[in-house]
Amino acid sequence: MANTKKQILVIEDENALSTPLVILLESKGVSVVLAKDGEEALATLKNTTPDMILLDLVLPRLNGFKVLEEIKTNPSTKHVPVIIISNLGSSEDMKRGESLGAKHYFVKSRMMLNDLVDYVISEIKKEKSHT
Amino acid sequence: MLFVILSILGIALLVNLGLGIFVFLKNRHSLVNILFSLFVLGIVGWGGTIFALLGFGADLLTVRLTFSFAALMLISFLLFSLVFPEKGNPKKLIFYLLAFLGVIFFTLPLLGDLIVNSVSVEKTFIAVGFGSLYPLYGLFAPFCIIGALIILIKKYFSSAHAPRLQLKYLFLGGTLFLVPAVFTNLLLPSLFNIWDFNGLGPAFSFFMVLATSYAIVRHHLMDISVIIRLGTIYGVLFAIISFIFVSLAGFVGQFTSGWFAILLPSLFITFGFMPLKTFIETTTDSIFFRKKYRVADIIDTLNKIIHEHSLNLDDFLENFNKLIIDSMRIQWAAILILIPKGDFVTRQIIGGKLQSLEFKPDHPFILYFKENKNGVIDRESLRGDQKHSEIIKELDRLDCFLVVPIESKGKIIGLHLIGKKKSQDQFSKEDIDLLELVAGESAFAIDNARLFDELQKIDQTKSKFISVVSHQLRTPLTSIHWNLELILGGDIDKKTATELSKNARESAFTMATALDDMFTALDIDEGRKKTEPKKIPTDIKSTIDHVLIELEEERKKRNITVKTEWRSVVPPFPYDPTMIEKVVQNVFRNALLYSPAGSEVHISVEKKEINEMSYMVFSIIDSGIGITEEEKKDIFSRFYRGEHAKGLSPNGFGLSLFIAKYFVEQHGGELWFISQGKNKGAEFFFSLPTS
Repeated sequence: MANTKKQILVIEDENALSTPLVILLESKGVSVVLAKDGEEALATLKNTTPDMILLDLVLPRLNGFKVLEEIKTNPSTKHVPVIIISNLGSSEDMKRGESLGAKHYFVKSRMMLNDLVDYVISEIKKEKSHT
Repeated sequence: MLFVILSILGIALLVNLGLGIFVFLKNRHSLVNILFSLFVLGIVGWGGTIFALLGFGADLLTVRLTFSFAALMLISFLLFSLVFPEKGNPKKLIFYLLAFLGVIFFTLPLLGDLIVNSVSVEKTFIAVGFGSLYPLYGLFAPFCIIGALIILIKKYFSSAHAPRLQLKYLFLGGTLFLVPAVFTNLLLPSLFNIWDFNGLGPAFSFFMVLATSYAIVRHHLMDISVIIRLGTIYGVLFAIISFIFVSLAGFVGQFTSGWFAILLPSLFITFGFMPLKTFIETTTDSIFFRKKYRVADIIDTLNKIIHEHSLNLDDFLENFNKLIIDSMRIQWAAILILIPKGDFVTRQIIGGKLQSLEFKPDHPFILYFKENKNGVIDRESLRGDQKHSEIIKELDRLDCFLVVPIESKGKIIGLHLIGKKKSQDQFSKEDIDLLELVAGESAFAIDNARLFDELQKIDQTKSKFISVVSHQLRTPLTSIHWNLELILGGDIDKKTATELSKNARESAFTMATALDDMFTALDIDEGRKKTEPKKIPTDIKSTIDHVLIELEEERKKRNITVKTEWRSVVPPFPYDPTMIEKVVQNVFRNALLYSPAGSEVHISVEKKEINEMSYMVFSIIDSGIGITEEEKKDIFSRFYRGEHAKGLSPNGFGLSLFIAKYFVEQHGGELWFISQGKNKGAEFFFSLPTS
């Protein structure tokens, strides 16, 4: 039954943020793949199709908006729900993220880590497994 | 037949006289103008005496004057060709020798029978008897003519631009006049005893007048095109008015009598004068002076442009420049706007065929206006001046004819570069006056638009600042928040808890540094940072080592090798260790951030003597992303980050170099860099006085 474990791709460049996030997600029984910049994320997506993507926007090499565009234009990944987790809090950024096809937009500093993870877990349970 | 010859002669002489007076009046202090007027005076005297002989009969004194005036004409032409086009000193000895020769040949015919001893006038020509010294005179005349023409043609080949064209017409006119005249009045009579055509000799001067007038109008010869223009306008005006007055008076006189026949045409002329004048001005301008613009129209349009584009500097400059290009019909013009404090060009508006301009603070034009507060740079008036050879070289390179400063409150805020006229004509005094006038008008508009522009920029910087700051502060805050949340949740082992605590602590530190940088930058910008560096004698090695240890973690993460080279012994010297540590930290962190993983960073320190002062010079070389030409001017600006740098490391304020430079300068040192461009690495230096 281990292969039915849901998989999440976390795209986050800040170690200090990805560490607690990954620890908490894994403790809830999902498997996590971490990418530290935009290009690494796209490379990962060539080999795996996760059940959900958590996407930071301010990223080295390729910013989050570009990554999101790529994800949503690529037929093999466009169905994967993307949740933006960013500290860009302006309404323009939020509108842009949603118009590009993000399922949800969270401003990190306004979220408790537990609430964020609970939301992710509840959402992922609704998704059919693709792995 | 005699009547025809006399009429032709008479008209030729009157036209010559007019030209001579114009040239003389325009600049009676210029040697060129004086010699040309003397030349024309010679023609008029020579032709006038021939006219008198033909009209009133033989007279020995008159024919002697004919020869004297001819000598005056010939020697003046030779001297003129020697002096033209330079304003100033000809080769003095030769000039005076020739002038002396001229005086001799002017006087000789008047001293009895030496040159001419008898005269008889046939119907249409004059025959003279030659005196004993006539052969000398016969040599003197061709000597002057051939000499003058050779000098003109030599100068033609060695000069450029307007003088070259002027020389062409002078040579043409001189040849067409003097060569036939030598045949009719010298060679044919003295060698072949044919006298029949000497009455016509002076009439050939028509060619000279024509060529010179053309050169005056088209190529600005001797600067009298304005007078010629006015002369033409008023001449035509006078002719038309006389014609209207006479014919109207005649016509009305047939029906009524006396005073009414005068009154009606007078009324007509009184009210019709101004419209008629305007009409003639436009018509003569469009026929003879096709390149003429109307000053009032230009000022009108400029005012409209100022009114419509007063808040947008680019639009204003674009339209202003276009107005000048179109109305003065020039090939190109460019406006350069300089920043008020320095000499850097902040904006370039280029119109016409010129594509691009490169301008540096030590550009010869800028240096020129630093020394010469008034006036313009005029290519023609500078030419040949050794002192300004750099400027002339630059003018030639750009094919630029005029540089007009744009001044506001006594300071030069811009330059208007003016290219060649499409007609190849020279710029007249009128043109330059107009350009100076519009430059003055536009300065006011430029100032206003620039202020508005600056306000907008400040506003944009502020918005950018807020968005950058909010993001940069939220990230470490979130990190502290999330890491602590997990630790407090309690479901983790001790090792993980330690790691998470470290994360939180680092984030708190990052945030403190970011806040420090921000406030330092704000203080600097608002001039509040008045605190002097707290200088204490410190070993620079200890400061650098401290930074290397602090950033060891980051260095390891990027697997970068650091090589440090102590090129000379630097004993401890007074500086503020906190400030300088920050400087080293900032340049070192940049080198680590922007170098490829696994590469090498090279630090060196040495002591140098610069201008009898002793300095410690620190240098750090990386093989990273480098700095592009475009980025170079902004790299020390507050909140500025290069595109490539942002891509590599999106989290940053763009304050590190701004602050580092400020701290170094507070110590009386300098911070600078060298980079060959994108991905070619960079070398940053800073110097600190050690005494």
